[in-house]
Amino acid sequence: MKIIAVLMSAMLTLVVSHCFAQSKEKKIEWGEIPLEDIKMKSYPYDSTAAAVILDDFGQLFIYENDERDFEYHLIHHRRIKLLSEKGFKYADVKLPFYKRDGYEKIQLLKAQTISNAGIKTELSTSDFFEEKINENWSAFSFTFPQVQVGAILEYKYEFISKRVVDLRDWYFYDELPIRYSELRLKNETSLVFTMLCSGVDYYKSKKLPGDITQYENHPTKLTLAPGRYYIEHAPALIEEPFITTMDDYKIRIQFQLNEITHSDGFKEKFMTTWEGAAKKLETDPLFGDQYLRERFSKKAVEAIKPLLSKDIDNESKLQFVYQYLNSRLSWNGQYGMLAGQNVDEAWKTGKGSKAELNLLFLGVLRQLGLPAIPIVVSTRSNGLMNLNYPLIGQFNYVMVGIDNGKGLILADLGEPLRPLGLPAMDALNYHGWIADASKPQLINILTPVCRDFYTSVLQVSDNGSISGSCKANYTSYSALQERLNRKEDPSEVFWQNRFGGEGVFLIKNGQIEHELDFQLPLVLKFDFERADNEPAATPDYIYFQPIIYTSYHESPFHNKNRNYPIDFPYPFEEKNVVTVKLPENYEVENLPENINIELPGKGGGFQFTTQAIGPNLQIVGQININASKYAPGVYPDIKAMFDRIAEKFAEPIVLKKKS
Amino acid sequence: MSYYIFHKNTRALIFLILGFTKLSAQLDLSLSAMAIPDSLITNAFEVVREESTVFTVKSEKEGFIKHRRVVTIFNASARGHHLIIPYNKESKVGKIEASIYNAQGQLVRKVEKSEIRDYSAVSDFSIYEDDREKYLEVAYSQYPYTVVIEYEQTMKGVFYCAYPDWVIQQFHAGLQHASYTLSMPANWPVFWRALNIDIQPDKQSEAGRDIYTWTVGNRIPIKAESRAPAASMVLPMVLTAPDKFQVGDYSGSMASWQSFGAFVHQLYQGRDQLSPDLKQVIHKLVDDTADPRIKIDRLYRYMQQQMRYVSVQLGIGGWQPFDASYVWNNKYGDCKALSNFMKAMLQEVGIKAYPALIFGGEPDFEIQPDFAKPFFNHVILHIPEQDYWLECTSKISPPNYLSSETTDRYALLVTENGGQLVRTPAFSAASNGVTQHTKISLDASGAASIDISSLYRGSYHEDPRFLGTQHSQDDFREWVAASARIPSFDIKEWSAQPSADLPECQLDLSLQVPRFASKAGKRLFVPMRALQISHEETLQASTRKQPIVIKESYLITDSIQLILPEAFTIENIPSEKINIKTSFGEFQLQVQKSETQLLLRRQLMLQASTLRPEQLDEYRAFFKEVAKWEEMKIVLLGS
Repeated sequence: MKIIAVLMSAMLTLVVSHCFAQSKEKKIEWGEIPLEDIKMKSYPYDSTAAAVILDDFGQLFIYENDERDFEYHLIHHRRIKLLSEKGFKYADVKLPFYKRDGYEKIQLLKAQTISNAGIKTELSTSDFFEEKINENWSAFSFTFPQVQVGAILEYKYEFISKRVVDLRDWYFYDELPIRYSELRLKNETSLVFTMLCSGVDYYKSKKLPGDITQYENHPTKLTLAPGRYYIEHAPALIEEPFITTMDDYKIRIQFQLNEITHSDGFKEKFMTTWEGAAKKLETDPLFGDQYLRERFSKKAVEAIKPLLSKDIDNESKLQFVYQYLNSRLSWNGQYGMLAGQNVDEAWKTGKGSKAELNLLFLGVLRQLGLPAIPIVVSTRSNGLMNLNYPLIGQFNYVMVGIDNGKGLILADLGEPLRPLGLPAMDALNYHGWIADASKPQLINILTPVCRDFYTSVLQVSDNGSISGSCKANYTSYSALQERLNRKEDPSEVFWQNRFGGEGVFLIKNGQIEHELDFQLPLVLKFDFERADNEPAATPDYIYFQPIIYTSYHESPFHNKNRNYPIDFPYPFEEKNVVTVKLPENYEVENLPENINIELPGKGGGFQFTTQAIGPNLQIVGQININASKYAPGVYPDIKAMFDRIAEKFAEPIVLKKKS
Repeated sequence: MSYYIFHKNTRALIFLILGFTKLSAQLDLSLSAMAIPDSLITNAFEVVREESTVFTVKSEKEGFIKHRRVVTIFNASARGHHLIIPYNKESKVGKIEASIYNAQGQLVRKVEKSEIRDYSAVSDFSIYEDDREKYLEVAYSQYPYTVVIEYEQTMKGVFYCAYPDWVIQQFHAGLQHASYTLSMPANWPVFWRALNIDIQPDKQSEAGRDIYTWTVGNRIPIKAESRAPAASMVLPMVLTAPDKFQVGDYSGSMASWQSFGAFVHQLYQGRDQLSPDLKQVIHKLVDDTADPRIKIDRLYRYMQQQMRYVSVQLGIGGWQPFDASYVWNNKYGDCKALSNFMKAMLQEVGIKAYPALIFGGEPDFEIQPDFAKPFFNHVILHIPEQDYWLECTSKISPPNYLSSETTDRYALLVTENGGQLVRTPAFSAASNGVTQHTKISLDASGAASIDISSLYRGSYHEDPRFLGTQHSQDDFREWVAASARIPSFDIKEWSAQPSADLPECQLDLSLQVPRFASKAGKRLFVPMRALQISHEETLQASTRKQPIVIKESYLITDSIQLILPEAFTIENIPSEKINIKTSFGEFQLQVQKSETQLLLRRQLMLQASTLRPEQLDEYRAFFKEVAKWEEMKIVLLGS
């Protein structure tokens, strides 16, 4: 038996062994709909819901089949109440399954619509379509007939899978609110699972007799009893910006396979220690073998070796190999910690997944005598890592670490414009794990502050028109973004598009520094001229806004409140230093006031100052976000700060003609 | 062809090249990127070196396509290294082969079978279709590189009956040499039409076949331009169509729109039977009136209430509707099935309606009035007697309303006498746009309470109508946030009231905006705009080659009443009267002021039109002025 894939994040564990034996169990029968559900007009816990999942029942049963293989089935029974026309989209259902080699199948599918008068219309077998999505996946799709506001949609099916190491997660969260959802587990095998429940960070928990844990966040109540897990009144999930992945906040239950007892009585452990996990990975044909066996990286090493001078130092060697491989290999858009094909295939075809590119890179470096080690992470889109348990399956990404004596350098192939030391943004998820059997270790992944620094000189003329020059200096991910923009639009028009502000400014004399020196900040220099578009000047007064180049003319936050933490991928800073040369016959009538805002706990801030320096004015605006994660409670402060920034940057300076 | 010689010898060449890299460019000119004339590279994402498509017509049911192309790829925006072949059960794809050559023309590798992906081509609005596609991206990390792609496909059914079209050049593609060959059984007529190019086929007759070949060479890239006409008005292409074809048990001809329409009419035959219970419902709904318009409106509304749009397409189902009883039993259908159902209901009360095939959305191919080629993706319903149009997939449109997706274009009516091409109505300026009154009461801190009352018409009314029927405070907030450039605001009250009969929606909105005007000392800078209503994007300055298209006429009237905070006076109004007039549009602005308030009136009127490329400067200048006065600020001075 081989591991196909294991599982993801966790917050709490219980060993699942007993069968379920609880009193007052809720039950639903096919087609037996309570009258109050048929008559229901709105869902009291969410009056704006377009639909509500009334009941969601799953029964998970793990057993040995006739061929003595482990198998499980999940009987899923769901009822959805449609409360407005906006909910009609839930009448189209798609049930995907992994069909390849018969791993999974769906059977005994039935579905019916129950009208608000209680009339049932059942779908016939010809109404279910099996659709092949790609080589691996298929799906059953169907749509409910006789759909109207007030109707109840009911469906039930049996999902059968041979992937016992990868039991389906059960979600207690959906786009729709859920009135009641329950999963029951029955395990008739010698397999031992650990149950992991995640997404309950902000819930109050209490222990009850009978090995029961309860989580509460009114009106939501989650109960975890042995073999039986249920939730009452789960709210609908709302997407918010600046977040890792909503999956981190969905309550769900996962099962991690812990131990198998083989027929000879040997107990194979699946979840051991971090050391054990690292050893296991090192001998995995799709991981350790790929960089430890010379034959997989041989061809690439042969191509690189003749290009290296004899006396090259390690730092230059690393730099060279990084650039060379980046120029020869493109990323196919897929993540992965394990290689899907041998890495010499990736070398041959010139493209591969993140695992294939970086494992090849690792192999090449080691053969060239550099002490490179694998660092695995769970990406932002994959969810937070559980550092308490050695769960290999939670990782979906591998990078390369090189200890140069001063510290660990992170290297991640896949984007030639991204310099050594800067992993892809999605890989910045606070932690990583060095998967090296000799010294496995959890590490914090810290990223340098990303800086945008604009220095401009601005000349105001007698007629109120504005011209000047600007030097924009970008580091880290900002530099990467600007280089990508530039690559998209390599012509002269780039300058006008990037800095012209929809035709307000005419941009001239664009110059780039360090365009190809990816380790250095990217510097863009240009001249700008306000092309007669400020309809406010009069002979007596001139008005102008001094901060022209910023990303924060508008606040990125619109919602009043926030339910989840704000999660910036990295700390950042924007600084504007503007020198204003005034027209001779004018004097300052009004300057914006200085302000200084600090976020609580040194989380960042905004400073804005103006001062006269000789005949000129100097304006400095500086924004700092020092941390990358902020609790929902800090949201009002952050929002208020960005509102103030937008307001301050919109504030004009007023000049008056000297009398 | 010289190409094959090089191709066969490539392996031997690689051997040589290892030792003598400098010679390689001379050895393999046909595949080396260096052999392309500079004129073809300027503005090119890719250059087609050699392309041939051969379509062999085997019978009235079946054809066979053989395609081969050699394309040099210069950057990631190129499309020539992507291969997408739609297919289904009867139109199977035969071989697919591809190889990659580097800039010098050395073979890098051959693409393996496992790299070809196979996807379901189900569009996201569909519950089921049996269309699939093969997809291959022939990628290499070092530009430029050259790909050789070949494939073969049997064409049957709906894939066969419109012969392949030959788009000679895609945007941003240079072309060295290309050909399209149509091999017909002898003396079978064939229809063809060249667009945007003067070209004639060479015709040879041999072995019982007539072989037509179109050949072109050396064409410089054509840039894609925004606000340009459909691609079929710009790119060179050859359309071809069969005289006779068979799909399943149905036979037809593309000789004319009339004959193609007659073919489609067969597919609709006998699918309009209604059950007795539905007939009863229909008569109960309309028998109390003799007015056909009232009958249409009531039946349309009944269908809107009862039915839901769901797409299920199998085999010929892409063209043939499910019958009316299927729709009645399930309470859903796709555009064809719902139009057919509506047609059947109208028929029951003696009103004649015809399904109309149309392209919904922005078409790449415009319908040619005198060349039958079915570039359609949608069906609506037309009632000639009342000159009514019904969009049967919408649950909220008023009767006789077509959205921008289907207005002002050709549609093919499917009648008992065959097809008949008609044009759908276009919006007039008076029937499309917004009339808005905004009252801004400002206080000395720059905070404002704003009351907006707007009447939206035509295509502009669709969003508010949708908001008005689905009424969720969050949706509405999002919509306001998207159209107002106000940093933060509270919605005090709002209502959207769509008209039941007309394509209009009244929207009333009260906002509290804490920092509406920016304050600078004793001055307030007041933006003279709360909600943005015109969304005209300006075009970049360029050496324009293609006409500029203004798709719809519209009229926007915007008046703002600004109540000054106490003890504030107006320091500056940029201008009190503006009037700009061009052949395609007009903009007016007028300001009146008193001690305590200011009244501003703006009007923008656009006329649907096609401007010559030379008019770009005039077009830009006009919209730049409009933008300037939409962004204008008034300066107030406090004491």
